[in-house]
Amino acid sequence: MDNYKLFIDGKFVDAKSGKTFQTIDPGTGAPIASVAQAGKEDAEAAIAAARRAFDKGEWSRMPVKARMAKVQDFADQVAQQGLRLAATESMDAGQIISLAKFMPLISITHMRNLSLAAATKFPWEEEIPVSGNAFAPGREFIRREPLGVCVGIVPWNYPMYIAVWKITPALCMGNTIVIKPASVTPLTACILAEAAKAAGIPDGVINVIPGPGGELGKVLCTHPDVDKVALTGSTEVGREIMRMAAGTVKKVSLELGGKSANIILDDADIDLAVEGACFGTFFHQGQVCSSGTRLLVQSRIYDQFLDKMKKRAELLRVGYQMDARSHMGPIVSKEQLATVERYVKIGREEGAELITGGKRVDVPGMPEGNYYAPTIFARVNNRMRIAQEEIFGPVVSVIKFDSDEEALAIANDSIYGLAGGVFSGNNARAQRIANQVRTGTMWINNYHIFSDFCPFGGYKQSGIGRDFGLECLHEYTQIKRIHVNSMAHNHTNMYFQLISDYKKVDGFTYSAPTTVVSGHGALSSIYKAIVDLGCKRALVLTDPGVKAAGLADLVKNALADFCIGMFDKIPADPDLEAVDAATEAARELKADCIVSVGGGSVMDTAKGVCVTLKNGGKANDYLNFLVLTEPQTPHIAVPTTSGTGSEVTSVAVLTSHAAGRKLFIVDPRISPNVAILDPLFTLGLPKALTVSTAMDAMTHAVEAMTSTMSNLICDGMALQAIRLIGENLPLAVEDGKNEKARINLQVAATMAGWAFTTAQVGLAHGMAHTIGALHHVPHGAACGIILPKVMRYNVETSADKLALVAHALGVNIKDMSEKDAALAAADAVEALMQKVGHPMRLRDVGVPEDNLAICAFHAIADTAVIFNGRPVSDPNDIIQLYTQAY
Amino acid sequence: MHIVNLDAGTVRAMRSALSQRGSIQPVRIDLRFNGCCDASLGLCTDAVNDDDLTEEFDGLTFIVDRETFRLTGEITISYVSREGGDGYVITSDKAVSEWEGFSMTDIIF
Repeated sequence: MDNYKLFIDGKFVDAKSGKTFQTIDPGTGAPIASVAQAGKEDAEAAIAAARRAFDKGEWSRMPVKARMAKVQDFADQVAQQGLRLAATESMDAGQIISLAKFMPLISITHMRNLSLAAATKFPWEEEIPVSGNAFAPGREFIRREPLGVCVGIVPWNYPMYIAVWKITPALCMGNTIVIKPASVTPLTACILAEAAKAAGIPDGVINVIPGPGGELGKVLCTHPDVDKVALTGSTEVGREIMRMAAGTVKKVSLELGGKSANIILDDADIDLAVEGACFGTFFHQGQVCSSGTRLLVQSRIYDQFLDKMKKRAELLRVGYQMDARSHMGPIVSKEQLATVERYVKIGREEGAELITGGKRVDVPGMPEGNYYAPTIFARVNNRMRIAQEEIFGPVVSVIKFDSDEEALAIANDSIYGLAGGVFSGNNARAQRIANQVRTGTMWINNYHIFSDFCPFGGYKQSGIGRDFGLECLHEYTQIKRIHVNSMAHNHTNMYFQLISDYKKVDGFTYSAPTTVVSGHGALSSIYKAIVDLGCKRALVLTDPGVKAAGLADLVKNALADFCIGMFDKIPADPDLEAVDAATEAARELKADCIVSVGGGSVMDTAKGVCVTLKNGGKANDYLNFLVLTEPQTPHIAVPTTSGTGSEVTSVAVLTSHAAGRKLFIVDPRISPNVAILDPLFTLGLPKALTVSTAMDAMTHAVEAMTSTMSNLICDGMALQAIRLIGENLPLAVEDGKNEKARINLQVAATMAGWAFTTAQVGLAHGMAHTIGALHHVPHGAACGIILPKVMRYNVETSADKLALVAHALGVNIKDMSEKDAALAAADAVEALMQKVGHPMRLRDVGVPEDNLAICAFHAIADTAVIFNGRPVSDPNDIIQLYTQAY
Repeated sequence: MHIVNLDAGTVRAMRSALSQRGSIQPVRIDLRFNGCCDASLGLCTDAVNDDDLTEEFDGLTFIVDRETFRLTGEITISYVSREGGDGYVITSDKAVSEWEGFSMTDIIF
């Protein structure tokens, strides 16, 4: 008789206790080998060896392609042992030889397929192009790393194959492993150990310790040096392993029991279904966890099907597993045979009708073998124990059903959810059923098909995690996210500033991707711009007022044949619905370019359209900060106001009625590709709009200077914008046709836009957004009224910058203190507003006084407030400012 | 011939569980199969059948199928407390699987 030892740390050793046990051929009842019986000490030694091997790094830090090569060497050694493995598996586990002979081949294929996938397809490192955190820029990526020491607990039904299921992903992903094969079928795991040794797998990477689960299980599942336990076994054992593993928070994957429903619909090919049902139940004597042991047969074909299945089952030849003629071999052990018999007895007691089988089979010359006939119970209802509990033998329960819905209800009425099948001549019908059965695998017109790249595992109490496929490889790794700060200085870290009195963000990243074309006749450049963008189908977006003024048609004509349509329904206060409507129009016309003609509302809507058109779905899907990873649908902006600067900014402000406030899309990729500043489009702008939009631009510029994100480049842009507005707004108000003044105001708005898109805005904008959303006050007007109040509020922290603003507005600050100069800036803004006839008070634009407190609570939550130069935490401060502006 | 063996604590726990459920039926010790290899012994309340062996133990009635008892020999039931819960651990003179004694079970009513 052969003797097999434990395999620990690269050596074949006896058990510390010296104990051995015999393994029995279930077909003959005779012992075939003696095996060392591992005990607690051996388990601890194996774990220690695996731990050392992992920590040493030779295996865990081996380059993945080198590890693949070693696993391939291992597979080659398994091939060398192929015949021995097949014969041993057949004798030890009772697998019919026509199955066992394939086991080495599919094991080798599994090893080669998964090692190749691990080396060439698995995302060991994965870049995260957008982090989802706008306030902590940096490189973000994840590394997937091995877990450490894994334990693989293998059952007796497929001892070699399932050992390979555990060993392969563990090794491919850089782990080490301790394998505990089932005590009734330990031999092929021991031979795999020999193959590993011959292949030069480093010592300790694989360890094999046959021994009783009850004794070894506790050590393997509670030892602090074990990182993961992978079990294929019973639900009861799996439950206990989870409980034990919880103590040291081990990763656990469990492939447990099943009572899978094989559903035979009335349009099935009956002969195919009968074969599929027999194979699904009686293959390997029913000792397969995914067996379709609840056979649900539709009533219309029930009698015919049952008759055929009885006849087919009775043709199955039960015999010694090494006899190539046998279709079914023995049950693995006397205990398991007794269990099967007990359940058959229960089935009879429960009132099920025994159609065939239900008895042992005498195989000539094998009086001690554990042979049992294929057994079919009919008239089973799903509440019977034989329908709810896994028997793990050649016993099937046939349940009749009428409708597809009833079949689904029966199929899902189980604590298990491992696998299942549908037989039908209608793929669509079968798919509908498959989609609704709560189980981890569904086979349509087939059964028991396992494939190396297709995940296998259970729902509900059938387990956790998956074997096979990339999904399985993931189960043997853990994720490390690495963040590398882009600007490693405490004064550029907005998070660190939460516990600091220093609130200014020093250091900046400046990007201005928009091409600006400015001047008299600039509109004509649009004809070249669209070609340079590679586009052919431009949709013009505008609002009814701009359309009525004839300005949109100017652009349409300038585009000539490139213009495929016009959407002119954008409201003054753009909302998500407007974006969705315009996007739908763009989709219908198959637009590849959006041309916005209008003020900030139109341009912001266009930005939303460009994102939604490119990425699908609705505008509400994209209200995010810095998440886009590709260029969006090209956008050419033709502003008809000189205010928002939206033609160059990376933000779109849109009202969400569901949220009750304005929300934003913020991303450099939504900055328009081209901005055309042609004074033709602002010469006719009414005085009130000229004034309010200019104050919007003024607010952008001033707040960019006092923002915590202000920087030298944006300060320069902002100061020039402030100077241009201060000098040219009165001129444009006096003579709307002053083209030079108009051009200067356009450029000022654009420069202010560049300034704030990097440096951000502040409290004035937060307050203006709120009264805009709640009381429909035009944005520019709201900004203008609130700005001077906020400037005075910010003097405490931003006097230096506000003094420069005063200078840009023409105030002689030479002999002033910095604080006085800062206050003078606010005065100068108010003086400008009065000069040009801008509304001075919130009451003048319809804001009710009794709503100021509510406005304050909304405003403090506005994103813009985060960047205000003076920190804002108390809504009472904002109430005061609203009151001053009221 | 004893079918079953329990300690005093286990008797108390079982009596309490049965009382809470208002159950007066005997407790059956049966082979149960809980999925993918390895049967185990389980507990449920049930009526006596012709093929059963019965035993009174400290006021509790236990039943086991004759064939099952031939497989197991004398059965020991222990009520245990482990991290994560309490339950019954069932072992037998002749173990029905290598995992005997590893996991806990409860009475199925």
